Amino acid sequence: MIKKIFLILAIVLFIISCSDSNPLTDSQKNRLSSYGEIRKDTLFAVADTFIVSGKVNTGNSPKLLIGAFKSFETRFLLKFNNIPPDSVLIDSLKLIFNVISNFGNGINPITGTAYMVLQEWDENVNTDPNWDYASNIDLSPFTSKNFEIPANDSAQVIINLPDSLLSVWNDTTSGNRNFGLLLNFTSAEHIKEIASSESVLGPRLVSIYRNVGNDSTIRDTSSASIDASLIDFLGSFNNDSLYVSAGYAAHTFFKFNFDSLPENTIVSSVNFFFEQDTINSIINTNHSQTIYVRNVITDFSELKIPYFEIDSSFTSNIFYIVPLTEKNNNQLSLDNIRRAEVGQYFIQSLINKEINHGSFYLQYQNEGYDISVYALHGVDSPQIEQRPRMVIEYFINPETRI
Amino acid sequence: MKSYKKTLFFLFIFPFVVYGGSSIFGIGSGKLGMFQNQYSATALGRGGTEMGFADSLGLNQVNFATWAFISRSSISLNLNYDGLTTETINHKVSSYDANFYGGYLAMPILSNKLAMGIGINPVALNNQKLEIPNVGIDAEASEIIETKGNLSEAKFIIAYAPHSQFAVAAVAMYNFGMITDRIMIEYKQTGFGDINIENQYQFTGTGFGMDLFYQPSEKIAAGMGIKFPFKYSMNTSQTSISNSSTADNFKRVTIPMQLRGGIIYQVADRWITAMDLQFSNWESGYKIDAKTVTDMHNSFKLGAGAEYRPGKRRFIPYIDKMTFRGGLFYGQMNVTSNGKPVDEYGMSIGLGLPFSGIYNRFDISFEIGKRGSIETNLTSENFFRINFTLSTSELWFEREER
Repeated sequence: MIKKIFLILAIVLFIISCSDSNPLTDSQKNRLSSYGEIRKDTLFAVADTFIVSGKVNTGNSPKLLIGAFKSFETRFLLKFNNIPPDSVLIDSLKLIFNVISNFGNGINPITGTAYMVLQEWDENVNTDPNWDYASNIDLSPFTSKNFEIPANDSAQVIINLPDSLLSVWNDTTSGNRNFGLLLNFTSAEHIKEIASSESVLGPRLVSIYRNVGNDSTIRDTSSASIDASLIDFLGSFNNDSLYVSAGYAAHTFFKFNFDSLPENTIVSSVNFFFEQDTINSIINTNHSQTIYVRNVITDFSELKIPYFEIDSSFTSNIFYIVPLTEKNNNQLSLDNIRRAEVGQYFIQSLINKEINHGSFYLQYQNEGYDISVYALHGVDSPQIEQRPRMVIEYFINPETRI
Repeated sequence: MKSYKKTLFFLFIFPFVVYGGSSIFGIGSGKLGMFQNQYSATALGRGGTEMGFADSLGLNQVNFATWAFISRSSISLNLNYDGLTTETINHKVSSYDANFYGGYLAMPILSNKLAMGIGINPVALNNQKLEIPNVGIDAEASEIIETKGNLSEAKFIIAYAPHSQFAVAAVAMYNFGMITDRIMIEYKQTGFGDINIENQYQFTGTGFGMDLFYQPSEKIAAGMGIKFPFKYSMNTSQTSISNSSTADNFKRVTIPMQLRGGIIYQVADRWITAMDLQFSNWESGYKIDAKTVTDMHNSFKLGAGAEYRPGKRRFIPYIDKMTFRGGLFYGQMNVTSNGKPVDEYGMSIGLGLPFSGIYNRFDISFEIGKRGSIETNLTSENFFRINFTLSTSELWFEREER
């Protein structure tokens, strides 16, 4: 009997005691003051700099660039491995490419010349300091052809190439001589963006020919095997501003000091605000304005040396590279959906001193696709609202309750 | 003996799953929960009066000197079920908890002269959940604070009666327990991450107490007890995404002295009245690291009640074997709320139900009461509590007659 009563009571009480209850809504601060508080602070960057890395690999770009705008000059190389043999009778040899957009002001037709290339190159040629296009092209009129690209944002361009190109490209007596073509501009005030071999609209070589002793014509189309843009920056970056640049790479660094935050800060949300310097920017609206912010583990004082390390120590890689996007008013900030994770993983690790230095590195998402220069106001900007900053909402639990 | 083994098992396992029966007033800076003496259902049925009762069966759980008069080994186990409705100016919430409230084992060494025993019971209870709305700055958020855990006492008791009218007991206590605060900031908007912090407080300490019992005549008896001040060693650890160690610390928590006394008077053949008073100097005696904790208040509780006892003849109807109890209690808690003392008052009724002969009894009591008021303390609690005590005894170590 004792056991039965005890067992029934124990079971009933255990079941009831496991139930959860709703919280009491209470705002009696004196009872709860020791449970911490939520604060919001704006941390301004304490130091900045930019480093120009210079030329970038353009071989994987979906665009080929030709023209000139501001201090940039561009031209492009392309090569076709599949060409008609030397034994055929050529009726026509045409280079066809598609303009997909214009970058720059005062859009007009661009005139230029297609030259035969005399030296080997690869798709990373833009970063090769020893490869000079001017000394590696054949200026002979027998292998060159002038052309004009119309002003339109979208156009197909057909260039009738000289037949003599094929005899040179097929001549292997002293090694391979098929190094493709360089398309250079004669005069331009803007840059044409052309679909590259990475695109279905990429350049094609169309040849119409007949075999000897046979009157029927054959039409052969081949896509470019490799292509790459050559981008030269002839100017200099103004030291009064900071730069994030694509086509000719420049990266901006900001240092934040988290010492003003309490030691036991627990971050809920973070947003960055970086203001565009519209005067010094050369914004290409065809270029994605997504800029990555990453954590730098090189000491800020050593950043002048063009070498630095990016942190990639997070277990989940999505947190060490975070996109900033331009919302409005020429201002870069985080998307809503990223602010919590950036705060609780990216920034919390810095506050915890699990990652040193607290420096951030800004780079374009795609640096080798085309040209765009995003200039930013720095820490010395005369207007406070233009200075780079971070808005952080965090919880501070100053001491335990007991 | 088998039933004793089972009850002994529950006696030592159940105290570690105690949950609640706490008070909102026990939450706050430096508060350890709701402190209370763990009276038996027998005493609670009489409004919390037990100091002067030398029960022949149920073990007295606040005046251990009465144990000296037991002649059989006895066990008492306590259970209860709490209902609590907490109300603030603009919110009301109810919660229910079931608890095992400890138990005692007493063994006579010299019948009616010397006894020893052990026991365990919770002394401070925490099981509350609070919500503070609108704590976010840039987004809507609420802070939920959940505190759980209890402080318990394991006791070793020796009771000695040098005279048939007088007894004394010494109580050695090992005090232990754990309180866990969970602080949760819950945002209701994308871009803000929830925050979870867990503070865990672990307590250990030893204490000492003494009890006296004096019965100058058959109609009157009195008891007194003292629990001397003692210190908890408290280790605190915090878990959150912050790696700050500022919350991890060690403190000494001084619990003040507790005095209690009570008297019973037999007004008629089967009618007994009783009164108990307990007092504790929390205002000056409660310290954390030798610093007095603010918002504390000297607690007292005055109980008064009556009991209608079973008939003494052997063959009587079951209803005449039952015990009927009733009582009132009034006191002030050991904390202040809104800067003012928190009153606690209520009434109780109880029954004693013998079973399986005269050496087993099941006591049940029902209390209703109120703590604080919205006008004075900004918060009030209405509570009810159903208490159960199972008391059983048998002869141990008795040689079996052949």
